[in-house]
Amino acid sequence: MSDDEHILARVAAGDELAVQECLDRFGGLVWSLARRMCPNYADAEDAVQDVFISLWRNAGRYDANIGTEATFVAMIARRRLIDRARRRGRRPGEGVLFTENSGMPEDGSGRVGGDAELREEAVRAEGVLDRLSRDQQSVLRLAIYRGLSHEKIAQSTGMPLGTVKTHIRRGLMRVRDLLGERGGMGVSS
Amino acid sequence: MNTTPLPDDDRMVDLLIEQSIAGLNDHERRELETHPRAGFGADVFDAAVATLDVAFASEAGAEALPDRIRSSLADLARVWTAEELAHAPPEPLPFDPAAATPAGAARDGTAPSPGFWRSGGGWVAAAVFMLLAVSMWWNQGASVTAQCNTYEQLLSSGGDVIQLPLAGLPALNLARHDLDGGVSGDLIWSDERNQGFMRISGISPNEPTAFQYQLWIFDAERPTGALPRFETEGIPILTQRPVDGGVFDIAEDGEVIVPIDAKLPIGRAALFAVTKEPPGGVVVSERDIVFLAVRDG
Repeated sequence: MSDDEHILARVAAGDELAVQECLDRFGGLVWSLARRMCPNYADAEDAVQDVFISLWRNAGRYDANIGTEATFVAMIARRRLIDRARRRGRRPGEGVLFTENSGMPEDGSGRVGGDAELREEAVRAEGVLDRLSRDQQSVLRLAIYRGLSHEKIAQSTGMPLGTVKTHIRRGLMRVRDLLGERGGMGVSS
Repeated sequence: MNTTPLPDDDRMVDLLIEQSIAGLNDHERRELETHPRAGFGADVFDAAVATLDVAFASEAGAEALPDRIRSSLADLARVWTAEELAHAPPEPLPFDPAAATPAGAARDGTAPSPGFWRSGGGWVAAAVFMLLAVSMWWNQGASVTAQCNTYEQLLSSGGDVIQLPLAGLPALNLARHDLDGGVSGDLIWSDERNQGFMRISGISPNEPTAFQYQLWIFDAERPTGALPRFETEGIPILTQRPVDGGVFDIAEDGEVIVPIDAKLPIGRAALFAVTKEPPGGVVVSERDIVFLAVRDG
C-alpha cells in the first residue's frame, strides 16, 4: 500500500475527506476501547473525541514499516485512555464489569459490516493471537480486553498470581517476537 | 516494530507491561524510575498490546460509533481540518509572489509569508467554531422547548405524566441498604417529554469524591438482546437493559428534588433504580440498589 492509500498519511496532509474516512474506519475500534476503559457513557464520549484529536495530530508519525494503521490507532487510543483514567487516580476499566452495550445507545447505529482494510488488519492481529498458548490468550484477554488486574484474573481463573503474571509476560514477549518476525505485520498470516 | 531488547528482570518487565496495559500508579512509576535497570523505553510493549486490542475487538464483533457521536466528531473533524489548514504552511499559488522565490530559497526553509493565510484561515476556523456553537445552542434550545423547568411544572403539565412512590428495599422484602434511612418521596416522569424529577427524602448524604448516586431507567420497549438476565432474590427486576439516568449527590438531610437526565429516549419507562456507584457513575452497574420506583402494569 502506498502512502497515498494510507488514511493516516492523507490525514497528516490535511485531507478533510481522509479525516472523515478515518472516523468511519477506526471509529468502532476507538469506541470499543473507550467504552471498555471509561467508567460511564459521558466519559467514553469525551474520550473518543480526545483520542481522535490526538490521532489527527499524530497521524504524521505513522510509519507503515512499524505496524498496521489499526495498531497505531489502538496504541494512540489506549495511551490517551490510560492518561485520562490515571489523571483521575483510577485504573482504566475500573468499575466496568462487562460492557455488552449496557446503558449505551441501542439504536442500531453501533453496527457495521466491516471495512475491508480494517478487516485485513484484524485478521493479521488475530493470526498473532492464535500463535499464543490457550492459557496466554485467556489471561491476556482478561487483562487487556476486560481490564482486570492480575489479582482479579487470579481470582476469576483460580490460577496462582505468579502463573497469571508469567502467562502475561511470556504472552506479550511472544507477541513482540511475532511482530518482529513479520516485519511489523507487513506479512500476512 | 519495537526491537528494543527486554530487561532480564521479571519485575522490570512486569512494570513495563503494566505501563502499556493500564498505566502505572505513583508508587509503581517511582519504582520503575528508580529500578536499577531503568532506562528501557516506556513503550516497549505498546505495539504488542495494541495488536491484541485489535484482535480482541475483532473477535468481539464489528462495532461502530453511535450515530450521534459520529456526527459530532464529523463536525469536529471539519473544524480541526480548517484550523490545521489555517496553520499549515500554504501551498504556493500561481499568483503568489512567493512562488517566484528562487528554488534555493524555498529549500532553505524560508516559507512564504503566512500572514494573510493565517489570519484568513483563522477567521474561517473561528467562524466554523461559532457556527458550531450556535448550531449546538440552537439544537439544545429546540430540544428543551417542550421541557418543564421544575418538578411542579411537570406535575401540573398533564399529558402522560406518571407519579410513582419511591420504595426502599424493605418494601420488596430485601435487606435494607445502609444508605436508605427510610427513603420516601416520589418520582414523576413523562415518556412523551422524556423528562422527570425525583423528590427524595431519607437517604444518606454522600461525599461525591467517595461515591455518587446513579439513576437507571428500565425501558419496557427496549430489547433485552443477548445480555444475561439477572434476578435479585427471585425478583427479575434487572432483566431490561437500563438507560443511564444521570448521577446525583445528596448534600444534606431533608427533601431534595433531582432532575432526571435520561441519556437516551425512553419508550415506556417501567422501573427506576437508584444505585450507589463510584464517582462519575458507571456504564455497567454492580446493582448496589438503594431504592426503586416501579410502574404498575
